[in-house]
Amino acid sequence: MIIDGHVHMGVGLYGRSVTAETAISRMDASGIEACIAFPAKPRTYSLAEANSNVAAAQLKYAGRIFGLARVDPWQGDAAIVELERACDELSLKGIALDPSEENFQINSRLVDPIIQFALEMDLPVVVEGGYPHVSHPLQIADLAARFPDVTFVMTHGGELDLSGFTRRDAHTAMCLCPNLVMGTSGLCSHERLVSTVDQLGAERVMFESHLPVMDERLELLRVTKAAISDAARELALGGNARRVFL
Amino acid sequence: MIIDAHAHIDEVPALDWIDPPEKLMPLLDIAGIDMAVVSTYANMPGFNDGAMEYVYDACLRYPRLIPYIRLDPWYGDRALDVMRTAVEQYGFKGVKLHPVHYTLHPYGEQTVSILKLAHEYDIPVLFHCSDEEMSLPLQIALAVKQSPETIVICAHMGGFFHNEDVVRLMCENENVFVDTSEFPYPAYIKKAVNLVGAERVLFGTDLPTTNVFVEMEKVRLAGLTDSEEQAVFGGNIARILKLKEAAR
Repeated sequence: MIIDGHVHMGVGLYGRSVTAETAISRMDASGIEACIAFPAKPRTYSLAEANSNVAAAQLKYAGRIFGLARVDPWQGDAAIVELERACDELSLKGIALDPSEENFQINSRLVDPIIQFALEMDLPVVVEGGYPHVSHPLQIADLAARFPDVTFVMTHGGELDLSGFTRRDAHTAMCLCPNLVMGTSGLCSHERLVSTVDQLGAERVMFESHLPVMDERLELLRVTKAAISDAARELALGGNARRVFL
Repeated sequence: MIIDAHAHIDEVPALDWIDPPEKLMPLLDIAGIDMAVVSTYANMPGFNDGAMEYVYDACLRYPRLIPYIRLDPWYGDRALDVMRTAVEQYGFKGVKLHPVHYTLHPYGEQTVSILKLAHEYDIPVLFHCSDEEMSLPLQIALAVKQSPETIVICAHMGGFFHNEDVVRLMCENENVFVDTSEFPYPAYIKKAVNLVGAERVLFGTDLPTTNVFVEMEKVRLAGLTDSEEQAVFGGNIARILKLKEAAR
């Protein structure tokens, strides 16, 4: 079973949007059976409304779409209230944080109450990784080390840097924090994917498309064409997402 | 014929990047890539004085490889001397510049001198062009303005975030090309082809760290016509490098 660990759903503020229907249609075309979806930053700026929309998609496409609650740590207590609503009442499966679009540093103490909530509720946390200044992999590791019992998914493998210099930092972050799983979208280094599987275990790698920003057909190939064992591929393509989110 | 316009061979223990040509060649074979442009990770002059000979020897052993000399403009005249030696004595076909590695603005006098000399030799300059400081398309644009006749190839099509800037640069100067290596957006390949034509988009992989199948499929997913795809996959770089056999 192939599970896409990273889809932004809804009408996005930044010009890219994918509806639940479009996502399902694209998933069908690529043989992706389920996806983990969280709101694109909505044009209304209301993450609560967007979380409700994702929860509705989860309900409508039960077993195909699993939603996460996106919150803004700058909202303080209100973010916790929203998490209680989204995760308790709407049954969303985890928390999504986007330090770039919500403009905070992921290792800021501002984030701690949200992660404390995740710890108490046993929820995974997806962090948009690799954005300069706000979600460098060592910043993510700094947070993950403070909460070793929370599972963090670091998208893009933590590196959005084609010079390759962030690669060592991202790998170091993964070594330092066993509770970090890395997503594969945009991960141009096949060698890093393979070495992560070989050195840290296939449980640490998760297929993700970053739809609609990236192209799920291309992103899928990063894992299906990777030089890893079939068992490792199965985990990366879906087993790990199932374990972390479902 | 498929030609990879951007690959690497080098062995740099400090970065743990150990990529001899013997690592690259099977990857080309498995993907059906006929030839590949190669440069080192080390800049010349620099910490590895043997970098030029390393590439030259590799290209002698593997004639499918096409040598580019990777330079560090910090060294001024010494860098230009290395370039002259590489082109005149060793037959190097192009220049690779990675301003992130040597931390120098691409539009400074030292770099522009290299661009001008490249124009004299009628060889291209391949810039790392992505999201990091010193490699932004708008910084490279200022270099292009000072040497507008030089063939400049912007690698990675501007990376993850600077794709619009690089496409704009292509629209503004007909000597600016892009390669498709590493960046993740097939749709931008199509966009560039639609705006400036398929003649200025080059297939590249940045092998051996990347997945060659991903890099090839990226071009195929762009939805180009057969003739456009053929140009991107090899015809264009063959024309630039005057590879007569390959250009047929």
